[in-house]
Amino acid sequence: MTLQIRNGRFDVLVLAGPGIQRWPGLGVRALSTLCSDMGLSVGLFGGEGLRVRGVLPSSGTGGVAIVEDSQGRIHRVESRAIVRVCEQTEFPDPFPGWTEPALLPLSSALRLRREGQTVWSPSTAILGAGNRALSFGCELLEAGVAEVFCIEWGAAPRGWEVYRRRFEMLGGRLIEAMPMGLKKKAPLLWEFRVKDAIGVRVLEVAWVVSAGPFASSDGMREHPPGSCLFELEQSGGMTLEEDPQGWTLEEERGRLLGVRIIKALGTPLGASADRSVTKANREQLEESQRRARSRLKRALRFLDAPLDWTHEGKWSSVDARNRLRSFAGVPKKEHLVREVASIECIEEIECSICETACPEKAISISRSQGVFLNESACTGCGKCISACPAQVPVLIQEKEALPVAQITMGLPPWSEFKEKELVSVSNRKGAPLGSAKVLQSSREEGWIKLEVPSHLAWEARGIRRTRFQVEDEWVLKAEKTAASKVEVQLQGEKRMLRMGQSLALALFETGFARGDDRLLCRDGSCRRCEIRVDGVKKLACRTQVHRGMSIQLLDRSPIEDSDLICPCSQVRSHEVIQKIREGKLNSPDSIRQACGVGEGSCRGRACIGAYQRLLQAEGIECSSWIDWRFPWADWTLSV
Amino acid sequence: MSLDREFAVDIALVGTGVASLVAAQIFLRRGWSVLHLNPDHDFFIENSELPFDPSVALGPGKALSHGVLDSLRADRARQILEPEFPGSIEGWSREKGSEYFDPRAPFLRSRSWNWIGSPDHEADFLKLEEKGWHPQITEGVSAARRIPGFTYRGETPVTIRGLSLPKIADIDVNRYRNGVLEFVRSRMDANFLVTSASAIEPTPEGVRFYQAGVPRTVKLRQGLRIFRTPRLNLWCQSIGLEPSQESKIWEEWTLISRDPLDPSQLGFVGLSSVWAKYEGAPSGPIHELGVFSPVLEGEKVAGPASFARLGGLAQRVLNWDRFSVRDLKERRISSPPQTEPEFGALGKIRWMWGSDGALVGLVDRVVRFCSEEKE
Repeated sequence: MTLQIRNGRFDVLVLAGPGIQRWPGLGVRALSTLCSDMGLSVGLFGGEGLRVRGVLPSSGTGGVAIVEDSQGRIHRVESRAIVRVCEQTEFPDPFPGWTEPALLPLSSALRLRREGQTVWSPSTAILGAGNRALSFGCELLEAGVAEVFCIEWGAAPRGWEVYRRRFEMLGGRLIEAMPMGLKKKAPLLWEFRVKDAIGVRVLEVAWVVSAGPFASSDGMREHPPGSCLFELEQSGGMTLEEDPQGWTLEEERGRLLGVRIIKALGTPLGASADRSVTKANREQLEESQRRARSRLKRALRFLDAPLDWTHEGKWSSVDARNRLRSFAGVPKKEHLVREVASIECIEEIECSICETACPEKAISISRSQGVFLNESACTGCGKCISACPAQVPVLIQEKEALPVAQITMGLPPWSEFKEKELVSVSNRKGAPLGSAKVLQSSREEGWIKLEVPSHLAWEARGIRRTRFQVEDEWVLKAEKTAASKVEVQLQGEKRMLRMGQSLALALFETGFARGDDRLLCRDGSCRRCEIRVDGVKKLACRTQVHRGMSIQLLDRSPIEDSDLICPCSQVRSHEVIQKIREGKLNSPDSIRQACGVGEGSCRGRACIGAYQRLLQAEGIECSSWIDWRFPWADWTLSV
Repeated sequence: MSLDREFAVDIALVGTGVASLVAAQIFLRRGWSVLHLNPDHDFFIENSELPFDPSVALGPGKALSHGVLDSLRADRARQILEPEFPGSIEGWSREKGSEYFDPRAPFLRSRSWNWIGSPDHEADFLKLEEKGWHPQITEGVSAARRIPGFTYRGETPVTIRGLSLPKIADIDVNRYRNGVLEFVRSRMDANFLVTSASAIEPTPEGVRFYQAGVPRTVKLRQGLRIFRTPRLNLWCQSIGLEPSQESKIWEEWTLISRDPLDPSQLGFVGLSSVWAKYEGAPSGPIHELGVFSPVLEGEKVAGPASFARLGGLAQRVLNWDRFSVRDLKERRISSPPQTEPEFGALGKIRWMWGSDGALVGLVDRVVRFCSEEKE
């Protein structure tokens, strides 16, 4: 068989980089729509059927992309401008034990959580406190994990206050600390040392999830300058609810990049000069650019003045209380007559999910005033509660003559409540306040109506769960899956694994994963999960569990070195620093070539973030650097 | 020392890679003041310097008649490289720990070079034997086994013939470049080792250029020396120098071999060369297989012909049913310098054609070029 090659040509190529799971994302859509509206031919390559292998930059601008389709045909596509869509870097700076398999990037942890059945108890630590980290923390807490820590660390971007509030309400703990070491204690149990203002704390965790990025970034870059070779970060999660801010950033960055490309290219491919961008188009472009810039600015504004909900003991501070009651999203008088919504989202965040969800258009979010609630229009339907990813809105009714009030809030997915049952309610920090009576609950619509003492009406915003609920759920889940398990030989021992499951996931579930398995890719592009199945070398991510199989892990002695910045090529940080200082090297490419960082099988996916931060610390500007080595991951071809 | 005012130096060098750096250190050794100008933002962008000359694939006889092989005898290569390198150059035969050993030094390897499938093996054999190269003709499996990456499971008879030459040298280019660069940087003021130099323009008395957007003028006593690589072609034409002869594009692929590779052999198959790729002393099994292939006229980089050549090599020569690509680099190299005069001159400007290609030959030419400068 010979390798078939097909040629193509576009003005703009948008390519999915390694590890991109959502394709095409919001940013890609915004960029491609804008470019094609201006008459440029745009090619999108990514997803399951089309695997982008890499880009060969041209000597001038643009380059050639090599793409392989599902039938093994190779497409050689030339373009004047190329955009690579990349995922955010998730790994932290090296610390003792950072190469251990218990430290998972968020993308792998999400997959393990949704497809696997591993144990996240007794506790899980999450490095980072951005929206995606907090959202994942909430997901674990809702699923019954007893303790989840979000560790705020260095200059990592902070999440929205509404997410932080929800995380704390569910019982999560936010800690400002530095990771100091990770050491195995028992199967699926690790000793994680962190240093906070008081001293070193030891956390016993099942996993440490690394939810970068650990430095703020513009999210789009061009390298080399003037080459029309761009990179766009996919900052949003899989769903809008996971991280609305990430989705907004991604969309507006895509739009801005589109404008930049149109301005750089001007005339569409094969068109005469008179088909270049017209005056009307130019005005449209300027408008798009202005709007995108303004939305980006708004999306990042809350970071300058984050709001912290302050408490005096169990109760909100006077300041916080006054600020809330005077806020335009909170009802002023209608709640004394009937049940109406209270949108307690004071922070000026770029999110309008509740506005879209409201069928009566009672909620409006404006740039100047923030959230505004039209009390008289609100019917108290509760749609805003189920729509909000942070479950901020509540329905509230105070009865002037009675000592009790009625509140309706989001229903935690783990809970089953009966009418008239008594539950424990908590404040916005998750501290217990007292008891409330269940009036009604709707699992389908995701809300619960409670009767609370009237002094708790503006304080109680969460329901606390009992320990037996957690245990019950775990036992139930384990019983359900036991039936589908088959016997295999794993490292010579009998083990029960789920039939048809990916072996890469099975290794994590059984505690046999190695540091090399952490990327947990689906397509074998990193080739790090090599194992021997029935004597034949295979990739764990591409192999499914079947009855009676014999699995041997390849013998790789773990390297324990906190200074190790690139585990694949075994390069240490001090070697990189030494090279920079001795050779006065001044560009990431030259330093990489001189030291060999990122030259291993993962092509820098584990280390490139830490490498860039190390260079920044040494005074080398690399925020707009893009690694254009071909291919992006090892590429296997059949002949 | 600053270049804020008009300044005078002995010589100015313009180059993007190893050649100009080696020249800089030769002139510094003489006690000359040197100004080095590089239009690129660092010395690692130049990609035209190679561990060995891939055009040797055309056959040992041709390489011998072109003088390419002479400088590549292991002992001769050491004689050329060592005096110009400010540090140790290690050989892989040295035992670790027996004496001083720098694990980060450039390694000069001595491998057997093997050509297979050429009809001129007998004629080449006689020519090489006369010159005292001790060639060897090999046949069948023993010939094929000398090609790194060859897999034989005994299914079909192997009928190829090969010619083998022992002890030919190749060297780590990156380590060599880095070593010279570190030395030159330590000896030269940062204002005289200029990267990202723009609008370089020779003047009757010296050279004018922009450094970080600031115009500089430097008087030169000896003149301007240019180390021409394809990257400098456009600039050379802009200052009125004749364009260089056409350059050739080579693809350097890195494949992953399932089985460990023999680091002591280097093979030439058709127009491609294959070798076990590693830096420094071989430690542990080597799985990266380097493949040099030319991009012929009318072909494109990573085009259909490239994949056909690569697929053919994997399937018909190496007996692989699949292969993994780890890396592909495009190498743009000047045509072999022997086809034209090696050096050129115009007034106080002198230049060296083809300041690229195999490192050993390159350093040899730089030394000869510099030796023509009168003290």
